[in-house]
Amino acid sequence: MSGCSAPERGVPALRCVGLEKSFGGVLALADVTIDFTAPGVVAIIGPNGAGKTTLIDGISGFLRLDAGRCYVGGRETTRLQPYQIVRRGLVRSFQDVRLIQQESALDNVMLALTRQREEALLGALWPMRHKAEEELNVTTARDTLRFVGLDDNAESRASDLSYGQEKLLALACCLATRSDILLLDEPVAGVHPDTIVRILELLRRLKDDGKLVIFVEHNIDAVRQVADRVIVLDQGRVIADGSPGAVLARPEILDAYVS
Amino acid sequence: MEYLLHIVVVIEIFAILAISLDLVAGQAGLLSLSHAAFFGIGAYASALLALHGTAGYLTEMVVAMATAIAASLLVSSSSIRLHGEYFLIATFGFQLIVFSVLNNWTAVTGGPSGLPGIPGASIFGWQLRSALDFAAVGALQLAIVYLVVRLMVRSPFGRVLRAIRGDEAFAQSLGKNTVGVKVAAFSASAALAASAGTLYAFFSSYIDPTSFTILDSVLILSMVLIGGSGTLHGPLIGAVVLVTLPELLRQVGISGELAGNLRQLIYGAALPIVIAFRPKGLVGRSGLDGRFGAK
Repeated sequence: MSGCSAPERGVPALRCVGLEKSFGGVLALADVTIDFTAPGVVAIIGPNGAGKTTLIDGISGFLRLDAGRCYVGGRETTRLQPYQIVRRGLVRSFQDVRLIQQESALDNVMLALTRQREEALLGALWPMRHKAEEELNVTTARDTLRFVGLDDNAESRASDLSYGQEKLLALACCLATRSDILLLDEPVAGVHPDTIVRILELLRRLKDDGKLVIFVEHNIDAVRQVADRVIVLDQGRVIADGSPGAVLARPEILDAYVS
Repeated sequence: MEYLLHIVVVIEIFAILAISLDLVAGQAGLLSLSHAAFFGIGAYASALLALHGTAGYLTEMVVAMATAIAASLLVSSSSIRLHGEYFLIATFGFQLIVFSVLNNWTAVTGGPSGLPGIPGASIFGWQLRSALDFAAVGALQLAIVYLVVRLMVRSPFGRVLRAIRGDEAFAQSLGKNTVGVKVAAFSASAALAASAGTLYAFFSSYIDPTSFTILDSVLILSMVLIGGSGTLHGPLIGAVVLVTLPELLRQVGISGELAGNLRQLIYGAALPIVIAFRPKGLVGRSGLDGRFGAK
């Protein structure tokens, strides 16, 4: 899968500068500045209400930040709409798995795959024009489902999948956007241990493919297994940033978040 | 015979309206109460052009559709970001405004007395005169509208529409410009409704605002919901049932005035009954299940 925004040498794949957000006087993000380089698997941890999901929402354009700027591949994305940010090569998943429940797994991936020009209204009136591309997309969608291990469930309705399968399908949808940067909100929370192993293995493979995976997670075991960098947020501030070995060994962090 | 053909044309008109409304209501989950307004805009645009010029049926229809698209953009620009019942209320407001304009802008629309004496229309030199002519043109027009909507529904465009109904934020997170797609679908839906207005204006040769009221919008939405939204043939069946039923009442000897009142009663009763006992409409699969998060 080729990327939309090939990272330039020396430019961080994702750069957040001075991000701020408050909700009714409560500071959710306070001057958060982080550079992310690709490839990599970065875990963001912290207690509930630390601002982890707010950070994902802000970077992905789902939440308007009070201050700060975001850059994807060196180009500013701060005020862009979510769909425009996806086209710059940054995709996000949701904590509560979101899918089109009444459609098949294959159709969910197809939704993520198709490009806007095939989706133009007037283009719909000339189906032959996009027939070849649509067939190619079906093949790619099946390949993507096979990559996450859902090839046997391609025709199942999303609503008939187990929770772990839904998480895998959501991941497949993220991959189908061909983004180089994936922001995953609790990718293994509430998932069967066998599926956790599978998801973590996929995250490793994505890094090997050159992607930048940033994930929010409470499961510290999972963090230890895949992350090559851990960022700790507390009350909207970055209080630790480094290798898992160093960060997770600090007693105050162990006490607070790794019980 | 003339009477039967008259009913056939009315069915064709309402089937076009119901199918075009299904594009936004059934596919994208955008329930709208302004479809009679777009129908009226199409009828008045066609009638005014015919009264002030000599253009043919197809030209009138193209102008009607373009006018409806322009009007739909007024609604879209202010309200397309609203969800569920808020969008419904916005379209309700637009419907009332359009009726007000048709009813009060006497210099152009003739006000409550409407536009009489709409001249006959012709298509490529074929002068439409009898009810049979209009039934034939209506059938062709209905077939084209059905085909166009079906192509849209089955295309990647349709996939995005259903994704918007299912979970708009999810669609956005996958790079879909959901606002743009909704604006496009709403415009297309309005344009197809306006094409039914052209058929109606020339068929009846007289139009007035009472054909384009909020009750007509409710009727069209009822056809979609009773027939089965999101199915295309459901709204078609809904149109046949809701147009034919009151005519059957008349046949069993109930007077016209009483039949009219009974008609309102039937619509009023049919909607809750169908929603209670056949929530997916007469033909089955509902386009609305996703809106309510049913698994």
